[in-house]
Amino acid sequence: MSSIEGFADLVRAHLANRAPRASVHAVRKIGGGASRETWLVELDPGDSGLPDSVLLRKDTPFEGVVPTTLRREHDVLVALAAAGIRVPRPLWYEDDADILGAEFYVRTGYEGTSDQRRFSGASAERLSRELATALAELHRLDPRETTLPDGPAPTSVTEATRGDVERWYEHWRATALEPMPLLEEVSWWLRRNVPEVEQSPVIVWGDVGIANTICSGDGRVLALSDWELAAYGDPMRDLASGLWRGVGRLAGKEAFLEAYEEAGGHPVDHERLRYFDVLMSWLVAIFTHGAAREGEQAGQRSLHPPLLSIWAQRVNLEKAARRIGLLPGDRR
Amino acid sequence: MLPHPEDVLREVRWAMDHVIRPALTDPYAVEQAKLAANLIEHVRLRILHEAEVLREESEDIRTTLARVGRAPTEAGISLTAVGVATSELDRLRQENHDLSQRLQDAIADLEASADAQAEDALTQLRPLLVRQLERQKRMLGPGYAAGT
Repeated sequence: MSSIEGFADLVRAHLANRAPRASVHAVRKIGGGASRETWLVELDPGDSGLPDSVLLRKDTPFEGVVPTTLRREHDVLVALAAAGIRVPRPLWYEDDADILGAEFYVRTGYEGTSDQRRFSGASAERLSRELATALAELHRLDPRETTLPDGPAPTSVTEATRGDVERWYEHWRATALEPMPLLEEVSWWLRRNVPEVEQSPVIVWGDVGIANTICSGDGRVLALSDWELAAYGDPMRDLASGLWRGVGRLAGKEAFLEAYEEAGGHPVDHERLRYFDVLMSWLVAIFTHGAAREGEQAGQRSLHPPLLSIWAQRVNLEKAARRIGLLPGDRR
Repeated sequence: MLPHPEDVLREVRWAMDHVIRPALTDPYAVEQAKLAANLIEHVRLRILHEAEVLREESEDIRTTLARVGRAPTEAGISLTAVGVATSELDRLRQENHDLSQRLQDAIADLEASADAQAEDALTQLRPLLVRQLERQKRMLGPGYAAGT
């Protein structure tokens, strides 16, 4: 029996216990994310009240690349779902790690795709607009009413950004496996250049992209997923994050930004976009640097950690170095 | 006589790309097989180039730090680098690790100073950071070019 079949049996057993009136058709691992494992469970729900499919999110057997807890990710979804944001609806959280080898939560599944390559022409234009609109909706939330599990929001965008940079810098210094002098230099650039913005922070998604968005085939946004980097911060961070992940290739960068402003988003500030573009590359370099640290759970190893620590880390350091002018070319 | 490790790895990679991956149907297995092929190529390039890269880089760090008045002393290099390494490659790796750490600490120190003299030193150190990145690319293989 393969490790995947063995895991599927554990999931069936858990659901038989949790929702005895439902029966499981199929369990399969989906997605290429490196921070968590995601499993699609297709059901005959019977009268259990469950949908036809649910998604199970659990920590990887090795230490995930993004050092935020699964519980926090779940609690962010609960808060955002309650505020009417289009996120997957959490169904239950299981903190007994003996069931599947790690804590996990179950949320609604969707019939859709997160593959940006499937969209072109009219569907791509629609998706670009819909994503921009979804971001504008998120950034309109009042953090005094919708709070993240971390507590109340900082008093300003500048304070939020500065706090974020310091937090991730300290995380990197505390967990570094090897010296990375270039990462040190980029860190100092970020510290020196925190945008001064007299504005209250908003709730930011932090990792905007179609890979983290569940979409219908005709370009509608069904749900925004993967909220590990959610924080209080600068709305420009989400726009920069989306562009960093390539959403500008759907219908053009300017069309995406215009759609955001037209949907009631904050005025676009290109200097701040540039700052957060560097921040995004820097963050990914930090996360992927730690990916080499790996635990082992029988039959569930992956080649993702070495991929990330060898290549993704350096690709992103090079990107950041170009943006801040250390390397020639591509400085926008 | 045994074949060279880099030749063995080249053949393993070929088998992965042309025999194993085409026979797989599970998408996750296909993805892992592609990663495996890239990792095999990375290891092959490490065997070919790592010692040379480490020597060049360590010498570059040493020389550049000395130029900005931050020359590392032998006492600062760990014992492993000096005499307890299990192989020459281990020794080179440890020495390079120690020198890179000194470089990183020097950057942190100079950036925190924020005076004109520190900025002058940083102006000389920054090109070294770029050279480090460029040297490492010799060992990265197709996974780097693909950005994955």
